[in-house]
Amino acid sequence: MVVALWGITVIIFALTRLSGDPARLMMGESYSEKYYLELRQSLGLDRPVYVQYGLYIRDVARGDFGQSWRFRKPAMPIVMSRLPATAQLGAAAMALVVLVAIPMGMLAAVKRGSFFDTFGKGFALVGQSMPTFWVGLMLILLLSVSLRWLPASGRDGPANMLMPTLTLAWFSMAALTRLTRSAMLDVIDSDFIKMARVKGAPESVVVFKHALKNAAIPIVTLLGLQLAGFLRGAVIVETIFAWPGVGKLALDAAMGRDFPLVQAAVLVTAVVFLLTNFAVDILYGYLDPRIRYTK
Amino acid sequence: MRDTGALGAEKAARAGASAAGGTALAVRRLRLWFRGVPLVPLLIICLVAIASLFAPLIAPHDPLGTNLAQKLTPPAWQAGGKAQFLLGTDYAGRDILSRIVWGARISLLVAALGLVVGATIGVTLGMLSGYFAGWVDGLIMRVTDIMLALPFILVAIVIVGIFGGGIVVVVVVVGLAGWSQYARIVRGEVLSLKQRDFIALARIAGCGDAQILVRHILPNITNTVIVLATLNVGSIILFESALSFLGMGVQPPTPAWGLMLAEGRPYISVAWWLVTFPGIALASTILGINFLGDWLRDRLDPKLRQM
Repeated sequence: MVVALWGITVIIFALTRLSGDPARLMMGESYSEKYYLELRQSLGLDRPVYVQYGLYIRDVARGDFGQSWRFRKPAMPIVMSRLPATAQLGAAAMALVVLVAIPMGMLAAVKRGSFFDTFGKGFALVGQSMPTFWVGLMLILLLSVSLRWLPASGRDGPANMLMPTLTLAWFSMAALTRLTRSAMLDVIDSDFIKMARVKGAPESVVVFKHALKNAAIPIVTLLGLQLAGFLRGAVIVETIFAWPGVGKLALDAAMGRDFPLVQAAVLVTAVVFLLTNFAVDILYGYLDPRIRYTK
Repeated sequence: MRDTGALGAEKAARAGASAAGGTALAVRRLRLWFRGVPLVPLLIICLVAIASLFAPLIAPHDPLGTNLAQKLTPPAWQAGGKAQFLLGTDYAGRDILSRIVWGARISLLVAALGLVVGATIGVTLGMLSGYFAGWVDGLIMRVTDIMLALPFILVAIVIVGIFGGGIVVVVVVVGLAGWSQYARIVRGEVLSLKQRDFIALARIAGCGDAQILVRHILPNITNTVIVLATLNVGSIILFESALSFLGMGVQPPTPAWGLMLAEGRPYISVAWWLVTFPGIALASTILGINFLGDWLRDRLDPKLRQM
């Protein structure tokens, strides 16, 4: 985990230094040469690259990414102030995915060959083929433009959350429905499920206690991956719906070459991702006691 | 190999067919290979491929030809629609159908080249990682860990911001985004392959590392790589269109589907067709590729099912 974080700082640092002279970018068209040299010095750009990297790491370890060039304020607090909006969206989308996809996948597997199965399979394949941003546009077209039910952008109330949440959750719902179905099917064919049935266990106990618990490992793995995918999706969803979160902030920063802000945003999202993976690993041990990390 | 029996039979059949010179047998062999192929997705992909190959012949109008007098014409079947613009026109009066047809070319071009970039990097590193083990393996696997943890769309945006948009940069970016999964799976394959007797025999026969890798290991992972590549095409097209949609991919006025959706977005309340048809093209292409990828996986390498 530490290695991954370190690698990310190297990549970000290299990318930002590849992009030309930040001091010139900051000043725009008109500037005096004297002011330019002062700015270079104050940013540390006149020192050798490895010194710059050393200083950078020192600052990063303190959570200091420097001043956002656009806002003229420290970058990290700006990112942190946008994090709740993204977290809110991510949590709502995750709840939607879990509440829709797992029951749908289970139903498709248990009632194999029925209408639910066909519907679940169809949704899984079609859903995974629709680009996130197009889902968002179609929702706006239907619910805002034609039916005028929901506002198309902003973050003013609960109604604002519905479309971004559904858009963000869409792909993951499809992916998880498919995986839940196939994981359940794998388990349902196994001997211990037959045994439970032979013992006369009620169907609900067979499905929920025996089958779902044993199908949980791939489901949890995918959920962890999808949560990371939300960070990616957030860039697109927040842009479409003008949702003031980290994704939109990062996109605007990258477009405006506001590198301290980009670095802070990338590192924060990477940390969230790594923590998610860590949590998933711990969850494995709980779900499957055979998995142990220490001897 | 996994499929030795079937492969052997096919080889025998091939030999028989050429000896007899019988086309009937060849047709039957082809049929056998393609059994169970999903037809509708195959049709979609053929359509897209034809559109991209023969775009200049199929497109009714110049995809870049602006005509402000005709701007925002609705599709032909709607009130105010014109027969010559079947799917309507955009804010500059460009024909949507023609731009979709030309857009197929961009999507497939980026997908094909991005695939080659990603697969080449991934397969090479995966083979080295699995074959040499030790610190090479450690290093490469740590890099793939980093790739997985990196919010790559942000990195892509930074790269495009630095080097500018355009097809070459987009191809490199989508290639870089995809290589790590090839590396991981190929490494796993090579780890088990290199324990096999024929590798030991090759070494006894005096093969060097390079020769073993290229002549003996590479042919045995081809099926896996083909399957991974097919499953990867859909996500490459998605990624390219997302980048173009954000204004960080293919640049205007090039007709690319993601870009067309971005350009139509400001007009969403007055011109529904601008954000609808390119999306349908995009979604059905990806749907077709995903279906075919699933079929090809079951056909060539069913053990990748868990992917």
